[in-house]
Amino acid sequence: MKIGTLPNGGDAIKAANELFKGLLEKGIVEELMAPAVQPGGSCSLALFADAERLDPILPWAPVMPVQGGRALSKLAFTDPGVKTGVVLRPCEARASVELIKLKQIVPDNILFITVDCPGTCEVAAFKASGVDEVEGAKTLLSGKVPEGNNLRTACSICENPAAEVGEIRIHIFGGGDVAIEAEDEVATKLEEAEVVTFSGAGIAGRDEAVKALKAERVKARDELFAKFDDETGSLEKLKEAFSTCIRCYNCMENCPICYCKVCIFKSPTFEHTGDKYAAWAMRKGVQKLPTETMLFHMTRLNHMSSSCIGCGVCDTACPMGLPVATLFRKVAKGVQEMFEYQPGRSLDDDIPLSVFREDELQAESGSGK
Amino acid sequence: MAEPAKTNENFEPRIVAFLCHWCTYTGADLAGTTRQQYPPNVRVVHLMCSGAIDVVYVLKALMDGADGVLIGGCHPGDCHYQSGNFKARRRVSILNKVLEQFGIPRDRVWLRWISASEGRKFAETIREITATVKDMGPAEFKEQWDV
Repeated sequence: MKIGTLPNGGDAIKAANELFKGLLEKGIVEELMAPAVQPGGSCSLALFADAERLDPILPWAPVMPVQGGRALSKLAFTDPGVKTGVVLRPCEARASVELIKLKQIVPDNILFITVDCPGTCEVAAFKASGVDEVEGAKTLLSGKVPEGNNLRTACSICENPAAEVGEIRIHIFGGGDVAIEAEDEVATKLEEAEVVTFSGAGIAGRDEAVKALKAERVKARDELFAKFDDETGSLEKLKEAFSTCIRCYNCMENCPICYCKVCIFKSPTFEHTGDKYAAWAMRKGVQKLPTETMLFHMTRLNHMSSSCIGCGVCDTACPMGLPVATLFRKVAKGVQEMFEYQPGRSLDDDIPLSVFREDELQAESGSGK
Repeated sequence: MAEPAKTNENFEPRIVAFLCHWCTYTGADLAGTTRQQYPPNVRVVHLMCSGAIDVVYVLKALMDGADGVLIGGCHPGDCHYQSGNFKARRRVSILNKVLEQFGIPRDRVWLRWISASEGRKFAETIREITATVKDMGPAEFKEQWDV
């Protein structure tokens, strides 16, 4: 890895956008996916091919309506055929790593650019607060939260906010500078094209700042999990917390890890015939409709928690404000610790459900009980 | 509607057993042909491999009438498809973490390795799971209308 700082004059957004302009102008990439402010307000992702039209790019958009990993799995489900840069937050980059392993992204032509992330606000709340998108991003970059907003729950407990994967990493934590770190091969290309120079010095206080932020987030996470257990610790309480679920599948539709083209819950397996509903009602006396809301969440937990990267788009997508992300992150933590697996860390770590060890989990089959 | 019967003599648990074709299902057959006695509480679902199980069917069974679920597969190293049983074991280990969060005791779901020659072990396992689940009482979800 090579490191250097970007000229920025105290404006991280400008510095990053200059870099992106250089990448497109010099042909390092032919298109670039990045968060952008839409003409009608609010942010989305966009795919830029014209170096003269990069103004809307806002790498630290204050909201994340769509998970970049999921967007990338559409864009690069088959090879785009041109060199494509993608600007991702750490959780989006982690999702992309998982999706590459799940064969949902062809990475050959993708240049991953990951940014240190100060967090995001909820989409609806941000829109309602009336804060300008660029101002909101600047507030978040300064370590504060825009007025009338809160950090999303998932962001407030995110232990991995630093850019740690990707060929190019943009650092903002730890000071007024903006640093760029790049893999040697990419760095050489960038220097040859005179896009940036790598002085060898990054942000002096970054490591310390990242460490402190991680510690703060771990503390917040553990407190939230403890509170969640208090509030939902029994089946009755958990049922109560999820009683407003309408099984709209928004959490699954927006989850980057839920990649199945047809979820079993949308398949004929769950298109029950009328006599089934009648049988349930007859057996129990009463049957809630829609049925199987808990079964849906429990099944999804089983299927994707080992790869849950904690982005919290499930929370954002839920029309009922259910604590989906908290439940999923809580279970995911236990599952991932069991397999010593950190989703999104590396392409070399096998997804837990795709491999096994012969000598593990003996107690599960009753041995040693 | 009457309260579901708690731990008592009259409660007869329903056990759904997902058995692999090559080992445990054949073991269950052997239990029959060698006239091993075991409780009639078990309903068998015949699978080609324990690795063919998806937890959604285990959960669905527990919510829809089963009080306990047995997943039976070949002993480690004996899987007809090389590694299906190891994959089933990983899935069950995740399932147990999920059940724990939902306050469902882990003894509702049993994973056991029973070979084609272990008719006696099959009968013993059914006796054991039936007794254990009988003590636990009806499954937490199955009589609730709002799940």
